[in-house]
Amino acid sequence: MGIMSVLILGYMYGFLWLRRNLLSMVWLFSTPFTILFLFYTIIGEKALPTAFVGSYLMIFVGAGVSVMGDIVWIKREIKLQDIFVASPLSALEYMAGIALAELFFSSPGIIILLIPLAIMSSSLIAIITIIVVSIVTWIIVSAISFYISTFVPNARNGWQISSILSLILTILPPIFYPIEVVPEILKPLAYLIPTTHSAQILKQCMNLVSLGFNEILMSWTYLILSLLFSIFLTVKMARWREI
Amino acid sequence: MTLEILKAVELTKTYKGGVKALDNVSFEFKGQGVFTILGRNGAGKTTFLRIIGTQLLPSRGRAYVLGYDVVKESKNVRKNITVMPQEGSTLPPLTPWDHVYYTLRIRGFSKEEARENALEALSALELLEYKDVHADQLSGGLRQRTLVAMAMATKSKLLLLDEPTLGLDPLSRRNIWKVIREYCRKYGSIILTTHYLDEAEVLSDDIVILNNGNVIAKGSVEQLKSEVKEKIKVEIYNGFTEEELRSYGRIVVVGDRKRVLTDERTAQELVNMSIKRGVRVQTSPITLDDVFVDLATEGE
Repeated sequence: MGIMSVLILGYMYGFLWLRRNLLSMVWLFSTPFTILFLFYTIIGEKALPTAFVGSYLMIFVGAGVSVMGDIVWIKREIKLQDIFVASPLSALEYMAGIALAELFFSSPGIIILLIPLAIMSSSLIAIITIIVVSIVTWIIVSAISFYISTFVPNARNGWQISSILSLILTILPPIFYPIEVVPEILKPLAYLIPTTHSAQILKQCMNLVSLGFNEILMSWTYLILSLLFSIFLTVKMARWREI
Repeated sequence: MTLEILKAVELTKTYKGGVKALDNVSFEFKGQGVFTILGRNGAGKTTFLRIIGTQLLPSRGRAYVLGYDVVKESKNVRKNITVMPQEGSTLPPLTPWDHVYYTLRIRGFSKEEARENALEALSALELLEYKDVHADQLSGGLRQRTLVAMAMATKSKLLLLDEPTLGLDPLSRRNIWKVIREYCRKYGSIILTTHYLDEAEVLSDDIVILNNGNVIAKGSVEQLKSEVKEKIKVEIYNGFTEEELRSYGRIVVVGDRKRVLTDERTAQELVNMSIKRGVRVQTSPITLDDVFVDLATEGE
């Protein structure tokens, strides 16, 4: 068990599937690219850097949120999850394997968007930061999705709840627009959502915002705490075994 | 010392909403073999199997699998078992080979071991010629056999198979019976649920009959048969009223037939009388089917 099991589950459920069913890849990055296209068409070229950040982050959030729909489907519809529950595989390993599979589906979109981000970012450290932040965001969202999925009674609800979660994580927080445009009354709410902090750090890497040291520290602290909390949810609170 | 495969102690499961699926279920399975949980639909078989398979928590009571508490020592249980869920399905674009091989790899088997075990299981279940066909192009029966192969290939000490032959044709069912027997001879024990009485009769070393969440009988096929005091069944197609037959034994109406459970001497009397009346009649020793109907309908 361990990392190898995670990689093989990810390969089986992600890569093998993708190789034989390319449609799975298209739908995961169709929304981020549609929004990117809309921003470019409506606002013009100046919207592109922010839209690249938003679309890039949205792909990782999309991959994480998809964990929910797929896990509910595997559990409730095709009932294969029971095989994994009653095996030495842990809930964390299972979640990581499925999340990795979703990342396989998203990989073409990630690569396409990483190129302009890398070109526009200020340094190598900035590029590394962009990659680290996106991975942390993907883990947080995947773990939260997994946790919620263990309470969802059927696949249809799974898809519905994942759409709502996606909305909460990508439209409400200012990932496609500056935080300044968020109404004052909603700002505290926006700061409660981890993707706000991911977006802020990414925008800083792209020189789209100028954050002070304390703001950067706060965003990182919030992301790390969210990461720990989401893993705690997966390991300790998720209903891996039903009650 | 005989190996304790399973021990259930006052196992109770009440689902949210108050539905009681299991009610104080207590019994043991010992030694290596095929153990069957038999019951009608909704008897509590799947709930029981999911509890001992560590997928569902009981509301009350204890269960031990291979000596380990399924709640407190679930990690040890999970290392030693493999389950096949009821009405499970396969991942559409993946092949039977992918399902069996990669499930083994995920469980920690080496490439060599996984390849060897996968080939053996697929061959035993007559799936080799379909091993590279995408699951969405396979028939329901082949997909079901793929699930059985996924379980068998692990060579776990204990397999928990929930209705493994559900929906299979008679020949495929018989092949699975053969594979199950072979598995027990070579690798470990199997606990299966079924509502097919012929399957339970052919396969089982020990049987538990569940009805409405309660154990209503337990024992080998022969022991269960001995619980019914009448040893012969006479099946009469028409020509007698239930009233007339009542004095000859216990009557169970099965479709267009009246089944009279009775002793040998009375059975002979009934046959003679039927011949005189020109009524179609058939006698045979009682089967598990009769025991099951007798026990499950008791008090109805």
